[in-house]
Amino acid sequence: MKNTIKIERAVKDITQEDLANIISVSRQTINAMEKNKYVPSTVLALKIARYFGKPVEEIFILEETD
Amino acid sequence: METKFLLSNKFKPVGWLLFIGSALVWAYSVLFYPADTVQLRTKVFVIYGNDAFGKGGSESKYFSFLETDIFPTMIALLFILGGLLLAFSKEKTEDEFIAKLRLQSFQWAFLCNYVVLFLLFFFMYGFEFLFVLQYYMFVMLILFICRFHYLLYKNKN
Repeated sequence: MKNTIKIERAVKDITQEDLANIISVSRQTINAMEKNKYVPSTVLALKIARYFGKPVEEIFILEETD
Repeated sequence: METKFLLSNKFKPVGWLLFIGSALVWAYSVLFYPADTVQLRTKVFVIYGNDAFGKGGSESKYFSFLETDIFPTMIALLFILGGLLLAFSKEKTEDEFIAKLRLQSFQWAFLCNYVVLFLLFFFMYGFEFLFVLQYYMFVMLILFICRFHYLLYKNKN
């Protein structure tokens, strides 16, 4: 699964730290998701989508291998 | 996602202090004093034991009081307590990814622990084997703490 968190973050002009604080997770979590090392839980995915004001599918995208 | 059995983040500094402090005190006593010169002889309750390492002799007692050296006992207890506090206190932000790192580190430490034991059985014999075993007991705790903090650090950048 890919995601566009890094792009969305650039659009909003906020740092990993800011986003981590807003959705109350650690900075490691944001970093690992952006590097595609971690697939978040449904709850976290929904929280991120809600903050960016977009549907989950626009931020988290399935890949061929999934 | 909440990991069970975790203490507040406040215990973490206490854990570091006990863990590193007791290790340093032990290392200092081993390196700079001849064997058995640092002693804390006290009466303790034993389920089963003797004072074969001291002057009390090797007559074993069950469920009674015994005078013996408790310096190694104190160091080991403080080290284990410190290690457990470190391993089982929450991070500042304890979330689902941290929980995953925690569990992965446990799995890794468990495996490495037994790989080390396997190699010890394979390559060490006699009293040297027993000597190393007393330190081996702490390997899993140490491996877990190192691995977990390494992963936390690695995932920051």
